[in-house]
Amino acid sequence: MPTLPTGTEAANDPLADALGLLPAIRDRWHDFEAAVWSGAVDPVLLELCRVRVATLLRDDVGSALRTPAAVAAGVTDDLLDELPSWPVSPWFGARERAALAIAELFVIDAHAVTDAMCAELLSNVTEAEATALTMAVALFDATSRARVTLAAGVTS
Amino acid sequence: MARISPPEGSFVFLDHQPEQYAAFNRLYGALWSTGSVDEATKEAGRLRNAALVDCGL
Repeated sequence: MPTLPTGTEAANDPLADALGLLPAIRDRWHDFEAAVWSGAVDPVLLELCRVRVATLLRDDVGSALRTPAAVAAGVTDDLLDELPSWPVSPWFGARERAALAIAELFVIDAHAVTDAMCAELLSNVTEAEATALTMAVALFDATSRARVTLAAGVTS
Repeated sequence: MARISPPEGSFVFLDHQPEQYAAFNRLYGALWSTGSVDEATKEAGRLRNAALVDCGL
């Protein structure tokens, strides 16, 4: 199973290939990724949001990746298989649902995120964690969009 | 009112995570200062992106 840059680069990753052409940006991109995964938020919660964002954007490479910190913290393929059912699946609690609801709308329509949704998140995490989660989802969204845009094989 | 209040002594909620914020700013700066695309073209892309997501800031 391929992993994120905080572990081993994925094979056939068009984003990694493009960033290889611009080492100054690549290094800072990886520094930002490392900061996101530095422990400010539970890595399991981060991985759930990352994979959900990748899935919504049909980023197959990103969906297949596993972040080592998240795997070490207990993320399993069984858990990720349940991810599309997060609103009703008993595998996910209030904290995960609050974060995933915002992560999904960040991708689909950021203006649809409501005050109530943010209040629900803040009833489950601290403001510092919510800040870290917001930055993380922004990174995941940008990463998946860039990867999909750069992928070869789209002909129409 | 902001959904996430800035920490005491700050006006920016991102200051809750100063290391992440600094890393983001280093990346953002590199995106503007690196590569062969001129800044006017990058600004046009930035403004178009802001318009598409209706970000008035």
